[in-house]
Amino acid sequence: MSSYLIRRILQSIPVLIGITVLSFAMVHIAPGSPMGQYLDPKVPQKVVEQWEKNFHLDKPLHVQYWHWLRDFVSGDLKSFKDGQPVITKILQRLPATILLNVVATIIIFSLAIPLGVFSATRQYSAADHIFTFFAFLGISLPSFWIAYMLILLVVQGFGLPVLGARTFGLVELAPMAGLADRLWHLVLPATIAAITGIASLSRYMRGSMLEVNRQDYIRTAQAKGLSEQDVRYRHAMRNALLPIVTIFGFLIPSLIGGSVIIESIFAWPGIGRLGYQAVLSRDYPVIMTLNTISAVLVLAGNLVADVLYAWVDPRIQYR
Amino acid sequence: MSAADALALDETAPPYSFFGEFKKRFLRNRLAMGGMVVVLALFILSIMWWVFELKDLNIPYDPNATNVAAQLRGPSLAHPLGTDQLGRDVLSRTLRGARISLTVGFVAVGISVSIGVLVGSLAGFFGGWVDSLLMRLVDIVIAFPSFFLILTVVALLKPNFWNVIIVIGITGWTGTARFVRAEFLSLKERDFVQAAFAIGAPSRRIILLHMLPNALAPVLVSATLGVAGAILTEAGLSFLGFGVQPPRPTWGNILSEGRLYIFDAWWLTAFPGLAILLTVLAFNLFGEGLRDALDPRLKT
Repeated sequence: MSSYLIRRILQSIPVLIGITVLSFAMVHIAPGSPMGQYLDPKVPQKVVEQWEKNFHLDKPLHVQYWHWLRDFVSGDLKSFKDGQPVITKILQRLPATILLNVVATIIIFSLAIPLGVFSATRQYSAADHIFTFFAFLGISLPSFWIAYMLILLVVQGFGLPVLGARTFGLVELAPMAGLADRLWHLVLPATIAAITGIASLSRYMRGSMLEVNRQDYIRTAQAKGLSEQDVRYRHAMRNALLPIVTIFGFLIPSLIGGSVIIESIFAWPGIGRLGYQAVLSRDYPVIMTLNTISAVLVLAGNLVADVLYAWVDPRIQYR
Repeated sequence: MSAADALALDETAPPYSFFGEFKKRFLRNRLAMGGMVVVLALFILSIMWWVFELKDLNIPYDPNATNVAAQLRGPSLAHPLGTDQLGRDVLSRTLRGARISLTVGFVAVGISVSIGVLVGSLAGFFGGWVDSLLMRLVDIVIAFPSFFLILTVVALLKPNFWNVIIVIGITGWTGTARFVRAEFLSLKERDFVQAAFAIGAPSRRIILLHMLPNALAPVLVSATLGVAGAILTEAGLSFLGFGVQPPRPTWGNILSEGRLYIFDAWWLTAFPGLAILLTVLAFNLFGEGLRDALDPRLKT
């Protein structure tokens, strides 16, 4: 197992370098200079050149890439926009995104698994058909649209504030009320982040459960007279959960991708919004760092999924 | 006893027809049929309104005609979906947007399917270092956070109709490449392909004539589902202001402009969003139905 792990990690290094080269090339080959918008047109040419020099923008691309890589590894990368270290900016925003995605993940797993089991045990019933339709609806929902519809409903219908991580202007609150306020602000963004995940994961769970129900050991369990409950939850569901574990690895990157839209709508102070602002202001170091971090997460997610799979299912062995 | 003998003995066995079986299974799936009907209706609508546009007929109104006297009017008989902040008719803009959304979906998927089929068949057919190299490329593209990547590239290149289509197209081909490769790997071992090798058929002929047609069914399915994904991505980009740019109406940018007036004019956000939802849902149901009907073993 450990040799397998080491091999996988070594294999992902060239992929990771390829990703940084590709995204570096794409960001830097795009027409237009990132400096144009920060500097007043009245600023003398000399100062502009000095700026470009500070950020190595006057060098050939491969030299610039080398500077980027060196600064990225040592953590010295500075934002074009305000000269702050990129790492500080990201660390400031990371907790909010992690909080949002952890809550969304909990919602996804705690709803999708029972839903999948429920409709698999009632295959082709009316309830199953309705569930199938709603699952497709969930996969097809544009998240930004449902976000605005829910905002409209909550603000118009109940007059409650929904934007940001807590209510703006409320400073002095009892600790419990402050906590409740924060929790309330999580509800809408986390729900919307979870919709697609609930829809697709519950379909996986249903399929996995149906697959297991066809196995010989289920027939054996039924034949020896176990109660339906025992067969369903102790024999079928436990085994049906195995492939679901691997989904966990793929969930992380897709949640982060979705964060860009959801965080922009809800003014959520996370890295998705940071990325969107960086794109708007052509802040190359921030864009590059976020791309690289997400790629690392995708690769790590795949690895975690494979390892988890072997861990929960001893029949699978990696060599 | 071989399979041929078994068939000869049992003369009552109905003749097997791949397409007949497919049709039977597809027609039974009501959700998929519903999806297909909506997809066809969208096609017909878009083509009809395209013809109207070419003939300078504006039905019901000119989608770009502003009317200061009728700003932000709610749904009424004159304007069934209301009017926007410039007094433009939302129904006319949504109808015009249908063609743009479908074009984005189909052209982007056309690009990604072409790249995917090319890469997948080359990797699966030739194997060896070609395969390793192409599959590492696939790994790299898959590891990109696609929405953020698309957003970055489109924003830096200046968002316009073609840039959006091309960028969505060149990021979405990895899935197709992977399963075309897998299909090719297994087809290569099949007798009819081995026979083609044995009589000395050139590689190009084997790929195009013998292997590709047998690998196309899953490509069709993923293309249908891909259209849904591309339409959703374009709408997301438009929503953030980096999609197809106004005044050309797309569902995403009508919605994006409408959100500024969300508390005064819900119809500006609600209707284009419903149009996106309905279209994406129809393509998803249609695609899943195709998958189930083409390969019942995969049915979940």
